[in-house]
Amino acid sequence: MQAVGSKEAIIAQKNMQSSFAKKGSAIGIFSAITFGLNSAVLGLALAMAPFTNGASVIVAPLVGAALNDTLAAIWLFVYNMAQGRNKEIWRSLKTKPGLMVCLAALLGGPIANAAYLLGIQFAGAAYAIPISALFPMIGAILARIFLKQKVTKRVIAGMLICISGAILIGYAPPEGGSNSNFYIGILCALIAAFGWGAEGTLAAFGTAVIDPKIAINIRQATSGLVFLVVLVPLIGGASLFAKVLATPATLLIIAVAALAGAASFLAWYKCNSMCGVATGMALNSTYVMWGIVFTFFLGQVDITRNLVIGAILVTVGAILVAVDPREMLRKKEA
Amino acid sequence: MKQILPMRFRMLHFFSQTEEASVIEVMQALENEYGKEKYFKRADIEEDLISMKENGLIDDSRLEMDSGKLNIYYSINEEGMNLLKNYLPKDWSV
Repeated sequence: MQAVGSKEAIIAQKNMQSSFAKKGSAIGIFSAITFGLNSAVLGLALAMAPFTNGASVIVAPLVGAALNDTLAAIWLFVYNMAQGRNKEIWRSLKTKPGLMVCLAALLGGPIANAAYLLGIQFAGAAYAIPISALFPMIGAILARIFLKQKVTKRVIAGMLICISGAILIGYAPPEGGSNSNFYIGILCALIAAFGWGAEGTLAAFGTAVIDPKIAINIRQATSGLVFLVVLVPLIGGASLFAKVLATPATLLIIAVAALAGAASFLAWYKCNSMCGVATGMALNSTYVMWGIVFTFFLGQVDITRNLVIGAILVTVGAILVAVDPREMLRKKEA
Repeated sequence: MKQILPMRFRMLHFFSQTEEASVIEVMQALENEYGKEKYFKRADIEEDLISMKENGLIDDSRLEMDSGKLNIYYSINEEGMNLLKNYLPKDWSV
């Protein structure tokens, strides 16, 4: 329904809405770039001592993730303090939408991360990575059902192209041999996709009435705390955790990664709140490509044909999600 | 004393108490509660209002040009009222 107003006012509102949507898309792409930077720098830290000293493929990344989320929460708290927003954190935690953000943190943080790694361990990367890359689709479906958010065909098409690109980038040939835990691995990968998808939807619900800057601070603090208090001791990671704290060089690199992570999550929650979950998640999913770009500059990856084709697909998909080609054509005609 | 709501939540509650309001009325109404906060700025509050509209909780009802500046009047819709009814803390009511 169009609001009542003079022709001049209606044009002014259309321009404002269009610049709001463009700002939201730009913030979404920024969230993907910084998330790519976060994973590349975190990868550097995970290739350093004490992570390399015989730590298991499950324990090392989870201890890394625990530190990453906790340090990101501290960065965000400093940012919110500087802006005088810290009081809003306690106010939000006393409301149900605030608690839903905590639930979003549990699903998208410790649960999805642990499930993702277990999925790779049990079913192999060839199956686990593509399945978990479906998370934007699950987020869009949940947002459609629970938040009644409309998703246009253009956004769905763009999202599918992004997902295909992300799958191609993460593709690893299946390893031979039978594994009795294969189906448990597939289930874990599905749980990861569901966790990340549900996080976007729950967080979007929370940020409808809570400032995204506050919601993301609550998210990172909850995730970091549950990682540290529950998951790290549960997987026997306490001694590795202590060793990382005693290694300043590694800790410093994780703190830098966490700063990029804090900026990324802040932007992701803001984009979801401005543009809707489907657009926010699809734009965010392009981080896979940015991660490869940063890793390339850090000298840790070879560029293969799959990576190049995947990157092109992710870019085309993201552009389709962010920009309506019809609107661009109209502008050219005008 | 009533629990203090996060400001965006309080803004939605304010819309349940009034027929329609623009950013100016919202700021006047909440001045006593949040006026001293650093983030109580017109640009931020305008963005909160647009986000709430994009999230389907309020609708724009009327547009006005005020000395070259667009002034949008918003009113709460059924979705926004349902959210308040289901999720407002107990000491608040619509």
